[in-house]
Amino acid sequence: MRLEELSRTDLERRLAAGRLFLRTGPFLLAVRSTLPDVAHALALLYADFPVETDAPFADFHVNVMPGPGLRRWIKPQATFSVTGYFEHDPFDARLAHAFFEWGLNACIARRVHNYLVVHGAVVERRGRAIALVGRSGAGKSTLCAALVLDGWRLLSDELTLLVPGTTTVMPVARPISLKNQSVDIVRSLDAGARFGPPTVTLRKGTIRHLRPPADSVHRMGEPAVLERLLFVNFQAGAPVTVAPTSRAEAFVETARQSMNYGVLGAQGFAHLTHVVESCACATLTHGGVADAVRAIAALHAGPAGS
Amino acid sequence: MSRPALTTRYRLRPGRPLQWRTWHDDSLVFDPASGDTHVFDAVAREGLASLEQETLDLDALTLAMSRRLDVAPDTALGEYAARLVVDLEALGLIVRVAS
Repeated sequence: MRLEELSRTDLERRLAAGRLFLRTGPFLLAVRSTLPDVAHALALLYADFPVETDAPFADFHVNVMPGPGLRRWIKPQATFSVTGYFEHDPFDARLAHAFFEWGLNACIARRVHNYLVVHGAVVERRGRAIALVGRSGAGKSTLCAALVLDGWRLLSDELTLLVPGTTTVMPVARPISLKNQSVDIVRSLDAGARFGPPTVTLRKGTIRHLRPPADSVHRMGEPAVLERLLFVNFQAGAPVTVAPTSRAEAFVETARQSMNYGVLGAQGFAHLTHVVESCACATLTHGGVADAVRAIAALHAGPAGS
Repeated sequence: MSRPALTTRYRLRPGRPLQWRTWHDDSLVFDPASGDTHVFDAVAREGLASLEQETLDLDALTLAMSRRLDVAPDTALGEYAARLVVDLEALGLIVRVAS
């Protein structure tokens, strides 16, 4: 059953009981929330995701609940926790639906060590996957969204999950987080793109999540083999260039963007060296997503590893 | 920082079997004891590799590096070796050995 097949009443009832069993990639979530905004955002963004009626076990019990005490009425707050793993201080309740995404990312990044986890997006076409790696603000998510709207399969926006000892990437297709003008850029590429509600933050500005394509969600049980590590660098107005990146540079940058390289020790070293030796490594500098999408399509049209 | 004494001998820190991966002129070294990964250029790599094999003083290290790099053991290489042991010691990769 997909989430959109649930009536709003049924969705809210399951959420209130902490029994919305939602699958996202390799993880089964048990979601609890009595906040209408959270139900609304989930209905929009996770419509195509499978839900299970009952489950004896969930990887994460995710709770997004109203804050305690008087703050229920005066400047309402919400809380986010993942039972047994993670608890965040109360925050402005208007951020609750976005906290579901951020908090879940943080929990996976901190707790999931049976994969090498790298901060980066992964897309796939014709069975060959590309990871877009880069610091925050490098334009990874905007480029990821543009590629997905161009027909690439989304494996992840934020978290690349690499199966130990391999270049296999486990999909964890979830909504794509876009900031400020990136929303307009993506909308200009596809007027039919569907977004969740806006979230206004002091630090990051306005954030909206793009609903992942149904095909990417339906195929989130299909891993893909990573063929290319692309280090993304956005410079306003810059022409698009693709420059080779040495294996050592690729290693250092990927390790820097990894959530758990340090935790994995020697296993992480062996794994990451295998990944950079197996993949073509390059730096993509661009000043606009349309040019970048064309450049990536041209790269991908060549032989594997070129 | 003062130049290390010529008679001081150095060796790899005991119990630290390093893991290496070399690509062209760059080498990565994983130190399981600290969990740190270091990047070395070709010259530094040969210095650490020399100390990984045997305990050496500065002159012997300079000679070992010159053989590995196929260059003359001149003053510049000697000064490089002196700086290198300071850096490697600070990283906890090598230790001084009592004479």
